[in-house]
Parts: sequence; C-alpha cells; structure tokens
Amino acid sequence: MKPNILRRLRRSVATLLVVAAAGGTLLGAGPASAQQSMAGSEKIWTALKGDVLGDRPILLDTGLIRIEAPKRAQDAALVPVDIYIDPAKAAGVKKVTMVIDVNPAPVAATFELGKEAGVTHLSTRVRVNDYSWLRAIAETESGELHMSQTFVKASGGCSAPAVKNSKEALASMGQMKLRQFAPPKESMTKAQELQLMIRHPNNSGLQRDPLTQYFIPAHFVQNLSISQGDRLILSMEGGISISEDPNFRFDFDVHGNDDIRVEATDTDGKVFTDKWPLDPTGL
Amino acid sequence: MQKHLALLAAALLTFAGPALAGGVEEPAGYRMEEYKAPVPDTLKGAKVVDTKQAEALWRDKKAVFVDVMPNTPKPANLPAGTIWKDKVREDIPGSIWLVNVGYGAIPEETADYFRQGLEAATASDKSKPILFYCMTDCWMSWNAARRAVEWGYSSVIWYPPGADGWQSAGLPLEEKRPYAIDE
Repeated sequence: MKPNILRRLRRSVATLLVVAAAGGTLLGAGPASAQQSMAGSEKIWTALKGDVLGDRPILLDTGLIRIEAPKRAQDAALVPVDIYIDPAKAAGVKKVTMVIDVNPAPVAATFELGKEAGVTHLSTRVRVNDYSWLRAIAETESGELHMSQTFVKASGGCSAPAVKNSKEALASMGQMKLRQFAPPKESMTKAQELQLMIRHPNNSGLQRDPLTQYFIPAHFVQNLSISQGDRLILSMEGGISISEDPNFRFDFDVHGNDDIRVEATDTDGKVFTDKWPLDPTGL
Repeated sequence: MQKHLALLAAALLTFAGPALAGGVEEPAGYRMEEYKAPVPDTLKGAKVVDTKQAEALWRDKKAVFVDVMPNTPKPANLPAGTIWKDKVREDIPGSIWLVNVGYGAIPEETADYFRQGLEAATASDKSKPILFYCMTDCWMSWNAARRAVEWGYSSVIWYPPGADGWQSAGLPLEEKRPYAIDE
C-alpha cells in the first residue's frame, strides 16, 4: 500500500514539474493564466488538422459522434475518455481519430471500426500534457468528417512516472484480461460490452527514470486488433498518449458464437495474442 | 496571558529567523522534486535580482542570460509517420536556452552539455556575470544557478520571476530553440 501512495505522490510531483516544462507555451495566455487556454489549444489544432485529416471540411457537433471527458482530470496520466457514436449512423462510420491538441504527439489513437461491428461506444484512458481540447473525429464511408470536442484541464500526463516499477511492468507485459458484460435487458440490440485490459508500461518516451535521470525510451502498444472470429470489431493505431496498462471498453453486435480474439503489437515489435470464448450472458 | 502570547510570538519570530525569509528555506543540497513550487528569496553564493534589476542588466548587457526551462526531447524511437509538435518557448531576448540542466540530479551528458553551454555563453570567463531564470515559482533556475556556483562561476545571478515575470512587467520575449552542441 505504502509504495503505491509514494508512487502517486511522485506522479503528482512530476505533474507539477511538467507544468513547469509546459510553461513555455503558456506565456501567450498572459500572466493571469499559467495554463494553455481554449484559444491557444484551438490555434494548435488549426495548424495541425491538415497534417492529420488533410484539407477536407470538418463538420462540428452534428450529433453523429460525441466525446466526453472530465472537465478537470484528477490524474493527468489517466484521463478517462468516452466516445459515443449515434447508433442510427454507426454503420456508416469506418474510422475514429482521437486528438489531444497540446500533446507533443497530438494524435492519441486512430480506431478502425469493423463493418457491421455495431460499435457505438468506446472508452479508454489517455495522458494529457496540458489544458487541451480533446477531439474525436469520425470518418464516414462517404468520406465525411464529423467532430466532437471537449476541454480538459489536466497537465503533465505525458511525463508522469509509471505507477508500476519497470521490472514489475516488464514481468507482466502483454498479459490480457477480458471482461464481458451482457446487454441491458431492455435493450433491443444484441450489443454486448467488452472491456479489454492489457498489461503494458506504454512508456511515452517523455518519462524520466527517477534513478538514472535518463528519459525512458518510448515503448507502447502501436497496433491492436479485436475481432470475433474473423470479423473485425475494432482495431487501433496507438501513440504515446494511451495510458499505462491500456484499457478499452466498447460495445459491439455479436455475430454467432466465435471467440473474441485480440492481437497487439508494441513499438519493439513484440506481438501479444489472446482469445476468450464468447460469453453471451456476460459475467 | 498577554505577556505569554507576546513571548510566544517572539519565540516564533526568532524561530522563523532570517533563513525563512519569504517562508521557504534554502535546502542544504539541490531541490530534487516538486520543482514547480514557491522558492526561497536567497541562494547562497549568488545574487538575487528582481525584474527591475534584471532589466537594467539586460539593457546594459552586463550579464549573460541563461534560460533553464526544461524541455522533453522527441523520443528517438517513435513509429514512422508520427506527427510531432515541439513546444514553442518564448524567453528573454538574447538568452541562451540550456534545457534540463536544472533538475536536482542530472546525468553526465547533461552536465557536459551544461558546462559547454556556459563556456560558450561566457567565452570561458568564470568571472562573467551569468543570470539564470526559468519561470515564476520554479526551482529549476535555483538548482542551475547553484550548480554554476559550485562549478566556480564567481558572479552568478538568480532571477526568480522568470520569463513570465519578465513578460508581465511589459518586457519583450522572443521565440527560442534549445541550445545544441555542434557534433
């Protein structure tokens, strides 16, 4: 218990440290504000969006996609994010890009959604380096881009030290756990919820080793695919912003009784696989 | 009763003493963590200046200005195609920006980088006045200035308000890249 508290303490210390590190960009916001402003974050996005999405128009708040996160995060290294897709239009969404404007690598993750996978809700946890807009951009089959955004007050997430020590983390690296949740009784769909937890330090490359004082190399889950049998439910291309021990919760439409299969590849080229029988009743 | 209170107050004042000026005591060694926090008013072996004094030194070019704001370098092993945006740092015009030299403990490479940066900035003259800063309530500049004192620089100046204090006094900033040693 105690070491855990200590690590938490260290993390909050590092959070403070990175407020300092981030300070350089914040000066434009004026002396009253030490953090990135909404306008500052927007300015970064304006300069960035062409690199991420090309020159296509982006439709804001159409209701097709919605992103939710706490307004003020308790732990900048573990900010919960929920993305909802309008169930009536979910079939037409093929890709969801998640962006955190102020993170040094702003594209947090890109999710491809399987055809007829019926994913309408996806949640995970991310690192947030400074006050920022979090954005979810859905790309439809016809190539339209729909965006939802929410402003999060958090700082220092990218360089916050790991909760687990590196030995501990490496020993369990790649272990997965899947929880299955039955659809609510009143639900008319066959949608079932899954929660996938992968043990991985997911080092951002911005964390300092408290003993050696060196930056720990980036080491994170780069590609992830989750399928039922051969049918893709969703796949992800991840970056430095996905939190330690990546965790994804999502719903999907069950097709038949095939197993749930997961394959993850990290930036060192290590491949982790696992599978579980479908449990139609949940746990 | 009143007399007792007065005595108590006197005792407390004595206890607080000069070392606690401003409420923060100078640590015996380097500040090792929680760098973004209130700082002492003093630094042993160095002169502390306010914005007005710093401005005078800057206008008269009487000191070398060293910004020690930390910065996280781009990790070497990111997947190809990763979009990366470096932070934009604005600091006092004419400064040299030496990154990550204000941590409580620094690896040998960083110490070498700091030494070389200081030598370049002072033309290897250890008596040349050097002013260290980062931002308000940041121990990085305190640590860096202390390190310079330890390395034998004889005219070290510490400017606690940092670039944001400078800016809020209506003084200009300029965009800066970290100092890099030519290979």
